[in-house]
Amino acid sequence: MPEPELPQTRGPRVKLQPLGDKAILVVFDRELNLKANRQAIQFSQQVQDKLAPHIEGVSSNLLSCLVRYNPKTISFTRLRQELQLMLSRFDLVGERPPMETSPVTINVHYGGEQGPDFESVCAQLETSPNDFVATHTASVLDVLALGFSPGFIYLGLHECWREFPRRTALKENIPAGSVLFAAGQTAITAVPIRTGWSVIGHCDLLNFDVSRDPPVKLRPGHNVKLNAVEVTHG
Amino acid sequence: MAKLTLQRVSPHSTVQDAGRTNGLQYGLSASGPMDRPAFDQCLTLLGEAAATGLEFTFLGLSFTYEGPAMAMAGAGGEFLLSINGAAQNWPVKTELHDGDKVDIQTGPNGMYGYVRFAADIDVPLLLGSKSTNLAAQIGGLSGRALAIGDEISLKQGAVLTAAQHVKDPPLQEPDPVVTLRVLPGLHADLLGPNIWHNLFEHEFQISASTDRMGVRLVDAHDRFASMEKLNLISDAVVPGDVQILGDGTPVILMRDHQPTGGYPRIATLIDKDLDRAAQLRPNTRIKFQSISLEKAHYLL
Repeated sequence: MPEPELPQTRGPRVKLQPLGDKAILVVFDRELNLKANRQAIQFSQQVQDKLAPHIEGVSSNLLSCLVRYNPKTISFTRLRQELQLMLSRFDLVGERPPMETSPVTINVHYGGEQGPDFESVCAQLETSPNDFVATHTASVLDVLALGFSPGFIYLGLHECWREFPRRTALKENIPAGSVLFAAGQTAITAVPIRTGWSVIGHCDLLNFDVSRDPPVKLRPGHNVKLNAVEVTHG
Repeated sequence: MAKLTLQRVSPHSTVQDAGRTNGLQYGLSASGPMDRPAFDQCLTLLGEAAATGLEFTFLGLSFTYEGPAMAMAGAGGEFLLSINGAAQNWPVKTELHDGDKVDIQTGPNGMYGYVRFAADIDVPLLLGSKSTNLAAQIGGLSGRALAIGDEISLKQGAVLTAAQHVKDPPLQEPDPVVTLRVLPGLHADLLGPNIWHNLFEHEFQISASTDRMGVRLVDAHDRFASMEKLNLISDAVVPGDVQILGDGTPVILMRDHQPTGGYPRIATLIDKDLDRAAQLRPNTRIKFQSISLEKAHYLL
């Protein structure tokens, strides 16, 4: 086993890990939390601002920042040094407010044919559908990440539901605009996908249109407020 | 007006250019040719060519050309080419004339071949690329694979000029057991040294299930079946990642990979070997070999 790269930065340990021979992943934490998520998003923005001409691209994930590079343009050693330098100036200790955006309202239809798992989620959580919706829509949520499929966004965190499991069986062909729920997060599909998450509803957001530039409306760092327009159960 | 009319198409054949390298931030992998050196070889053969070409899979492709004289090159694997019934070399540089019938058949080696022309494939440029991403159903011909009866227009426009001193890809692998070189994957340390060493102990085989998203491997020793199930957070995927599915099946993730994923990735193929892996036919025996990052960069 090769030795993992462990930069000595102040505060928590951030890991710089080569992914293949053309990318470095900057990992801020292993357990999902808002602070590390915001660090990953905001650090990715800084990398974009400072290193864009020297790299192939940067994108944030739930807890990490992927920096893609061409070793013929910038060497691994040089890029790692640049990232370490940026990390040494990046506050890893203090709380991080969300990036300045006013929340985008997303209207959600809970349950019904387009939210077939809504009632079983409520039953598993031993809560009434109305109480679930009240909690689910109570807070402004961060767009934690964009990934898995085009325009697919992860929203969170719902701290009280972090332990809620994924389903054991995958469901096929879940349509765009579906609202998914698992592990303290809500996700919204933008193209049809296969998923193990519970499908609790449907919304009017279509977060991917390849003819637009940029093709997505919501991306990591944005904020969202869910609004229940309909709750179907029983 | 120049156009190709497709008469025979192998599954998962697509329109490709160098790839959509800025798509990842929107949830789109880059796509692009499965065998980049072969795709580039077409350009080298022509000297100047348009950026976009057709990628076909191992059953080949046949089409009729209509239009003014048009330079064409073909490369990738070892396919059997004939034009109007007369056998031609492969790889090839030739000139097509109105009414020519081009027929490319399965040859002794390879899974992916390419044809490129002086003029460009006339499909929309989406996020800076014409590449088809079959998984996301975006690019090329409305996001789909080529189909029999498709009429594909070629349009004169900007051309690329071949780089100097490009080394052509080999027609076939020299050894019966193909060595693919890997670096530790994102979860190698989490999976532990035993799982890592397991990777190198025995051979694998390329399975019949291979496409632009991934190449599944057959593991006669089932060495990952009893691997502890890790509850991993979804994280970045890069082309060449060797991912272990829930039932222990290893998959090499290819050009149309998911942008992020939650399955453990034990290793990542070096960039240099990803195109070679794409060309391996089902039942090919492979073995992995560990390499340093420094060496991998030296090979680029």
